[in-house]
Amino acid sequence: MTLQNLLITLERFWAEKGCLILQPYDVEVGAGTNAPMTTLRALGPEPWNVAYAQPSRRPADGRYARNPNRMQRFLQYQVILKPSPEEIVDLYLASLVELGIRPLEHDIRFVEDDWEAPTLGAQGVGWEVWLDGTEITQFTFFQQMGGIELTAVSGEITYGVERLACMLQGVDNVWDMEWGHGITYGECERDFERQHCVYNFEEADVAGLFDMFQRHEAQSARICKLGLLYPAFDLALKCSHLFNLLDARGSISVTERASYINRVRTLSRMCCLEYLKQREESGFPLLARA
Amino acid sequence: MPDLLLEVGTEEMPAAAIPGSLAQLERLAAQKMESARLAPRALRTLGTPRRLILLAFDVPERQPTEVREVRGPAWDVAFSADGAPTGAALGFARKQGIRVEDLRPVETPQGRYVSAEVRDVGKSAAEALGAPLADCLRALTFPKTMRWGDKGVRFVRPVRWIVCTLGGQVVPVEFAGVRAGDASRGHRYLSPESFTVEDTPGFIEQLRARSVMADPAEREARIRAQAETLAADVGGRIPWDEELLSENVHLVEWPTCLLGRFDERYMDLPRPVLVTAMRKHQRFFPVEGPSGDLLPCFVSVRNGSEASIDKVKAGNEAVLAARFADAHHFFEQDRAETLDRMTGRLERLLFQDRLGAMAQKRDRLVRLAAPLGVSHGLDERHVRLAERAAELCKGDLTSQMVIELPSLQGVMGREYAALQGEEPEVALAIAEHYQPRGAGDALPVSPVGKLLAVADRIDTLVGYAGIGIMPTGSADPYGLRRAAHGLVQILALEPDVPSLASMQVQAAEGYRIVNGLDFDLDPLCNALQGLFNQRVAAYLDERGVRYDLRDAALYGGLAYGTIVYGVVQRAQALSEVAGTEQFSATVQAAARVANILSSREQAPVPGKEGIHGGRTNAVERASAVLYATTRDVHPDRFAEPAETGLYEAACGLLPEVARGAAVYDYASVYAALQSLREPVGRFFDDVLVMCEDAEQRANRLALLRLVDALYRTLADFRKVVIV
Repeated sequence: MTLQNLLITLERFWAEKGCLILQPYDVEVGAGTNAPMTTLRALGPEPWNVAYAQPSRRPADGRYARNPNRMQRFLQYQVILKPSPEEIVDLYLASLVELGIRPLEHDIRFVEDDWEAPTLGAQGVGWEVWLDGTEITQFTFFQQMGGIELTAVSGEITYGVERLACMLQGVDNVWDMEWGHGITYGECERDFERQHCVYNFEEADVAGLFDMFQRHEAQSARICKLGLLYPAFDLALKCSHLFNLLDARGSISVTERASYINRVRTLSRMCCLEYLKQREESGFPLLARA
Repeated sequence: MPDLLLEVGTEEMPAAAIPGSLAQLERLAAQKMESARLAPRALRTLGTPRRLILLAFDVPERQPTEVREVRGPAWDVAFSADGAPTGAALGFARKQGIRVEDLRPVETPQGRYVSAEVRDVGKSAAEALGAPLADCLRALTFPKTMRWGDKGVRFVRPVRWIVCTLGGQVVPVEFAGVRAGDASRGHRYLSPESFTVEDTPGFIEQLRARSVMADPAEREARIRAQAETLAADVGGRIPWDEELLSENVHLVEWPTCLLGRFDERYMDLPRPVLVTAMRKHQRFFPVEGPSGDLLPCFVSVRNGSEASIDKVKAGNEAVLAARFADAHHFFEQDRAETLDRMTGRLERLLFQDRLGAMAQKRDRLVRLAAPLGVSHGLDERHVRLAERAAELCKGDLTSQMVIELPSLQGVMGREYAALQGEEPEVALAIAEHYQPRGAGDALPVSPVGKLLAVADRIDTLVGYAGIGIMPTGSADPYGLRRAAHGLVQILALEPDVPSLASMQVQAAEGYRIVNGLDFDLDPLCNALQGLFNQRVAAYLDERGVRYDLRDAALYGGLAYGTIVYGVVQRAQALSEVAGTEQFSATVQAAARVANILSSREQAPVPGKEGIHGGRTNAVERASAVLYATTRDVHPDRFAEPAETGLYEAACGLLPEVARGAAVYDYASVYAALQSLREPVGRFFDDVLVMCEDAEQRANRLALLRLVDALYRTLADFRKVVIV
C-alpha cells in the first residue's frame, strides 16, 4: 500500500465513522496534538470528532536524511474522538484491518505508555500500539490540557504514517518507501530534509531566533488579553518551534531550558483559559449537536 | 452452597499493575464478604491484561438471621400511667416492624426504656453482595488511574464489561457506569465474540476454549517451558530475568513463544547494549550459549497461537535489527571521540534546575573524592584514581548511546574509559558508581567504585535537601529515597567511614565552592537524618531484626549522626542476647537510669567528628567522649557507699566499653555492661537522687549521666520491649 493510499484509506475510514476530515494546520507544530483542532477542542464539554494528517517538525531529530527512519519533519495521522467512545479500541483495530493488517496474522499489543507535553501543560494515559514489536500508534486518553483537568476525555489516536507505510510495503528504509505512482518518499522529501537539517543545526540565525521568540511571546500575551486567542495560540506555537530550533542549534543552556518551556506553557495555558471562557460565553454551541 | 464469579473486563491494563491489583482484590473481597456475613469457604483471583477475576467458593445462600435489641423512647413516654401505648410507642413499633405488645421494658442507668427485639432475617446472597462487591472495585488502588469518556469515573483503564454471577444468577453489581451481566469475552483477536458464562467452576475452561489462559501461573509455566525448549534447540539457555518474565506474563492472554535471530555482526556491540535493546525495548529474552556468551538469537512471546507466527517472527527480527543498526551507529560515533570530550559537554546537561549543570556535579564529585577517599582509608594512588573516575563518571550521559538508551549510563562510560586507555580501576568505578540501581541490584565492590557511589549519592541528597526537596509519602519523583537506601546498603558493610553527618558537611562545602550555594546546615542535616533513619530501619527490617531492637540500636551509639555499620553491628549484638533473662535485667537497669534523666539531662552528643572520623585513633576518641562525661562527677561529694560503688564500676568498665565501641565489638560492650547491673540496683535502693541538697543532687545526676552514656554506647534501652 502506497503512502497516499494509506492516507486516503484512513481518511475514508474515519469519515465513515462520523469524523470531520480536517486539513493539516498551517503553523509548524511538533505533533498533531499541538494543532489547535486538538489542543483547544480538547477543552470543555463539547463533542468533537475529527481526523487529519499533520506534518510535524522536530528539528533536533533531523539526521540529514541519512537515518533510515528518523527525520526532522514527518507525518502524523491524528484522530480525536471526544468524548472517547466505549468501542474506541475496536474502532482503531478495524482501521488497521482496512489498511490490510489482519490481527490474526500479527502480534498487536497495547503497551502502557503515559504521555506528557510540558509546553502544553498536557497529560494523558494510554498505550503504544506495537505491531510485531514495532510501535505504529500512540493511543492516549487526555487527562489534562493547559493545566486544566478535562471532564470530557478525548481519545487520541496518532498513527505513525511513514512507519506504517514502510511496514506495509516491506521496506526498511523510509527514503525507499513509495509515496504513490512509483515516486518514493526520498524523491519527494530528501532535499527538503537535508536542507532543513543544515539550517536547523548549522545556519539558523541564533540572535534572530531569540529576538523572534521574544517578539512573538510579547505579542501573544498582548493579543490574548484582547480576546484574540486563535492568533495568540499561533504565536505560542511559533514560540514553541523557535525554542525547538534554538535547542537543535545548541543555544539553550541547561539552566535556561526549563524557563523557556515554562514561558511557552504560560502562553498555551492563557490561550486555553481564554478559549474555554469564550466557548462558555457562547453556551458551548456544539453541545446541542451531540 | 453456590460459587461466586466476578470478572471486570477492561482495555489492556499496564502489565506491572496486574499482580498487585489481584492481591488487593482478594483481600478486599474477603473483608467485604465477611462483613456482609457472607464469607465464602475459599477465594481465588486470576487475571490477564484484559480482566481481573475473582472466584469465591461455597458462599452462604443467605445472610444468617440476626437478632438485635433496639432501644426506643423512655417507658413513661411510650406508655401512659394505665399502661396504654402512646403515639411514641406505636410509632416506634411500626418503625421496627413489630407488634406493640412485643415491646419490652429495659432498665438503664438513665431509667426505664422501651426495647424491641428485632429479627433481621437477612437477604439472599445475590441481593446482598452487589454493593459490597462494587465497593471492592472502587477500593482497588493502582499506581496511576485515568478517566475516559465523560462519565467521570476512574480506573486503571476503561472498563468494558462486568460479569457477576452467583450459582448462575446475576448479582447486581454496578461499577464505572457498567452493569454486571453474565456475558464475557474471549481473546481480543482469536475469539472476540461475547459468550454466556455457564457456572463459576466451568468459567476458566470456557475462557480456555476461547484462547484465554486466565491463570498467570499457568501462562508463566508455559512461557518458561516453551522458551527453554526453543533455546535448547539452538544449544542455548535463557538467563531468566524475573521482572521481564512477569511483564510478559501480563502482556498476553495466550502466550506462544518464538525463536528469532539477528545478524552476527552485531555481536561486536557490548553485551549490555544487546541485552538492553532486547529486554527493555522489545521485551525479548536473550539466549546464552554454553559458555555464557550471548547467541545471536532471542525468544519473543506472542499474544496468540502458532498461526502465521512466521510473520510475527519476521517483524520481531526486523525491529530488533533496526535497533541494533541504530546502536551500532551510535557506538561508532561515540568511539570516534573520547570520554574526555563527552565530559566537556556536561555544561549543557542539567542536573537540577536550582543545583546547576552536570558539569558542576562533576566538579563537586572531584572535590569530594580526596577528603572522602582519605577518610574511607584509600591510599594515595586510589585517591588519585577516585578523582579521575569522578571527573569522568558522568561523561557518558552526553554520548549518543546513552542519550538513546539511558539505562546504559555507567556501562557505556566503562567501555569508553577503557577505549581511551584509563586505568581499569577508573573504568570499573564509572560502571559501579550507579550501583545499586534498585532493590536487588548488586553493590559496588571495588574501593574506588564504592567511594564514588557514596560521593554521588551524598552529593545528590545534600543538594536536594539544601533546596528543601525531600521524598514525601509515596511520592519520590527524584529517586531520593532510592539513593538513600543504596547509600545505606553500601555503608552497612563499611566499618571505616566517617558518619553520615560529617559527609553531609563535606558535600555542602562543595555546593558552596562550586555553585556559590550556602545551605543552612541544621535543617538540611535534620531532614537527611530523618530520611536515613527511615532507610536504616528499613534495611534492618529486611534482615528480620525485631522492631524494638532495631530502634534501640538506631538511637543508641556514640557517634554524632549515623555510622550505618555501627547500627547494624549493635542491632546484631542485641538480637543475639535478646530473650535471655540477663538481657531483661540489663534493659531494666538501663531504662531505670535513663528514665530519671530528662532528655535535657542526658549526656551531650559528642562533636561532629564522632568517634569514627576515620580509622586512626578511634579508641582514643571513644575514650575521650566517655571520659568527658566523668568530668562533672565529684567523688569527694559522695555520701553513700552505693555512690562510690557505682562510680568505681562505671570507671572500671569504661576503657573496655570505649574499646568495644571503637572497633564495633558490641558483644564485649554488652558483656562489660553486665558489671553495672548490681551497683545500679544498690544505688537505687540506697540513694535518694532527688535529695534536698542541690550540690549533692547535681552530683548524683552527673553520675547517672555517666552510667547512661555507657549504656547508650550500645543502645537506647528504653526502646526495648520486654515480653
